[in-house]
Amino acid sequence: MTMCDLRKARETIETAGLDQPFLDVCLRVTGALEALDGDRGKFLPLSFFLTVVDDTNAKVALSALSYICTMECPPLAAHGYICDADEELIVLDDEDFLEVVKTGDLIHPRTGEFLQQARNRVHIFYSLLSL
Amino acid sequence: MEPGRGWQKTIEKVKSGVAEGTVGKLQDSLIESILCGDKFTKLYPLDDKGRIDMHLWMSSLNCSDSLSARIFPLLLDEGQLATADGAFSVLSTQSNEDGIGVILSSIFNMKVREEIDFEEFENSAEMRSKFDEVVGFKYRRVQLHHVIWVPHLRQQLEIRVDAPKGMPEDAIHAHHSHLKRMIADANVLTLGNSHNLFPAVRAFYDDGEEGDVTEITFATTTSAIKHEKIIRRPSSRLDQRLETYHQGGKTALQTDIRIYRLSVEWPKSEDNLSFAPTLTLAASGPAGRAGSPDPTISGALIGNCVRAADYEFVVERLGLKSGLAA
Repeated sequence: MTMCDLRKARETIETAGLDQPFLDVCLRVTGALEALDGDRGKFLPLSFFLTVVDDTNAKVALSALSYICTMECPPLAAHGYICDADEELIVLDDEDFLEVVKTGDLIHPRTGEFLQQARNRVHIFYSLLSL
Repeated sequence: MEPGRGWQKTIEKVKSGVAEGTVGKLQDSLIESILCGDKFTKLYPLDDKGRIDMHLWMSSLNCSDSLSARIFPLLLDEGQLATADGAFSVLSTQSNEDGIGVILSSIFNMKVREEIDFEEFENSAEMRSKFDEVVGFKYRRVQLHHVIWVPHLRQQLEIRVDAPKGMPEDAIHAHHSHLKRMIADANVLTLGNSHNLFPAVRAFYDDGEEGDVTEITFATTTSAIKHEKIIRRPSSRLDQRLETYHQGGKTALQTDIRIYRLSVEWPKSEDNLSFAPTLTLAASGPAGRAGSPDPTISGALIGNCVRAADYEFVVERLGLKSGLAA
């Protein structure tokens, strides 16, 4: 994914007929991604985007991020991590992350333990797909 | 045999039918894991006479008359763990193309932190109004496997203490002392201090070709201690040495950083399987005691070694970077 791809994503958003304020939030998120250079888009927690969208509430920001992550040729991908008993951050395999989002079930990446209804243990972050 | 998704499913799959010829292979893999899994290793100087004496001693050792020894290489199950004697017992002497060693077992009470569900309290609503989270601690008995190892080609005797996640550092050192005393009591070898591995910290950091650095702790002359750890997805490779913030911080200083803790990982894949043996070297602080400029690192945490080859690779790199004789 290059800056050119991000521009393409912006064009797609602009021409998709989205309603306000959703459109505005999507464009702000895309703008923030365009401003990231070097390796600065590898770990983008939700708080990063909330500072970008100002007064907009978190629900709209989350919807906008979901839209951007699932559009055709997305510039952004969602990932997840959990914190273990010692507060150590363990990033999930994308496959495991998708599984827990879909079913709520998670295989703990360290212990191999099967955890049901584990969605509320997972923290979401995003990364630019180019990195 | 392909594993199932998670431990439970893997166990169910194995129970549903073990393919002929796989039991021996599984046992071999288990022994390899016992020898090399997650170990805290100290290296001691070993000359040719010492090597012969150690070989003679190891070949004369009898296995203990304990349950752990009788069922080796199988591990104690939960019921057996609850009643088993926790003392050190000799399980087996093993030899392979890398060296000869003795495997010992002990049982340790590991302190585990566990979140308690509000519903487990009679007055759950009241508890919920008072606390966001309730946490309890419990002790879980775990079987540990330690190894005294004499490599064929290196000039260092290795004492490897099992160091699963959550094992406190003082307990690791206590286990080491016990194993060291066992060698001393048998009048086999006089082991002095283990090799100081601190020189390897900077050597690993400075060699950009040497694996991926995943964690660093260092002191700066601006009076700060920095602990930096890379966050990355399992499939990606990132190196803390090259991370922008780390590079920028170093550039802003006019003096060098003083690294005293570092983790390196060597990701590799073979036959569609991924391996990432890791090495952690940790001193307690940036300076030594009693006016010594450098701290001492008496042992290394060598983890994530699924195969003996992974462990051998790491310990060889460690010896090289520490300036030890091959």
